[in-house]
Amino acid sequence: MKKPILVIPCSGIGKSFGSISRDAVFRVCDELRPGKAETLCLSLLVMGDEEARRRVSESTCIAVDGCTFECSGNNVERSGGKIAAHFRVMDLLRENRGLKPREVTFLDEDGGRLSKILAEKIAAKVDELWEASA
Amino acid sequence: MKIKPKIGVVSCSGECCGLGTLSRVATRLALEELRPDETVTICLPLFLAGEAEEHGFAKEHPTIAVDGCGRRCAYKAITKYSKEPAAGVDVEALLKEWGVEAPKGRRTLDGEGLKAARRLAELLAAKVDEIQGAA
Amino acid sequence: MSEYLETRADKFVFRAKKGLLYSRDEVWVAAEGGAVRVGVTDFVQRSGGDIVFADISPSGTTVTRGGLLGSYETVKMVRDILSPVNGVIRGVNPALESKPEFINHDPYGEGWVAVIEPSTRLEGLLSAEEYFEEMKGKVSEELRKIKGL
Repeated sequence: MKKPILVIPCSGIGKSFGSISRDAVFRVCDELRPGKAETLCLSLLVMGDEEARRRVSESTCIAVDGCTFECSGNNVERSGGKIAAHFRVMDLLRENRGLKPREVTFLDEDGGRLSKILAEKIAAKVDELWEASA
Repeated sequence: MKIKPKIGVVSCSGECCGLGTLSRVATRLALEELRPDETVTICLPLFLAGEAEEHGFAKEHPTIAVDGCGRRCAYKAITKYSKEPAAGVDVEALLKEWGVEAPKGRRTLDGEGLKAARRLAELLAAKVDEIQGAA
Repeated sequence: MSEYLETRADKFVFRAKKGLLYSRDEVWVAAEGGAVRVGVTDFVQRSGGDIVFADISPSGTTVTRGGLLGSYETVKMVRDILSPVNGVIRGVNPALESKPEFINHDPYGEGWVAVIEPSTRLEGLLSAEEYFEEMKGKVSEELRKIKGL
């Protein structure tokens, strides 16, 4: 039986980008690709939780970062995960110049739009990785 | 005049369930609306990645850890890499105490979830006042 | 000994690099032979947030002191970068096209903006120490913006 793709957001709390990364990953795991994509707590992983580490080492991982600090990507790699794909909200902003997501606590309209665009890209990548997996 | 220390509030990221979302929203409400001048959020992923400013602040200022569940990632991380928080909240345990159900969804909070977030934010604000008063 | 003058507010550390000159428009200036290398200060990059685009006038452009050298865009604002000198742009940081975040991560190093050949002598610029004192006075005002409040 195929293992779900692990999609891990940074969930950074200081900027709208972190909220967008989190929101997009939930869209993918709960709405767009339930059963094919799952997420896990980045903090749990970094704090050395055995179950989290096992899941990361046995799964194909996608890192979803808000900003250029790339906390998800860096922390997943440091914890022994192999990243098959990496998305950054900042890159998506460059492709969608008119969008200005400002709110952090609750996404504003532009934040919601960007989350939706990002979720669709992640979902497409999940499909690709799912097809390629044994 | 005694200078009151700023308080760092660190929420777990809690992607696994709605409790993480509740922790996060409550932390942001405490920062943005209730105690904007008294608090600073510490970004847990950035902190775990070793970012100097997050570490520096947590070493020198009192912190409050807001954890979605009993695994207490935020509390443990702050203790491990800087110093023990001045206060910690286990949101799952707190909701049980309040007789409030845990949020069902994790992407957004429904009406009951938002009410719980506001109530938790008030509690965090009270903790900020308590810590500043004792300093 | 640190190469920076530093002040901290909340968890943020604001830096002014020693040995540079500064304009009141938040641009630093480093003399390099007959030219100057310029960039934006740590203080101003911090208050704008993550830079998504940087648009700098190309090499060969004549600039005037206080006039437009370029601009950068974050989700909060578009901010003009004003030239600290009269002269001609002789080089633009090519990395900023794809990695404008260099301005955020290393404003005094990899985030340099342009090299300008001055046509008049440098004037109206502050030493690092003078700039640092002025910057400290602005920090608390900016904190709320930085925190997104």
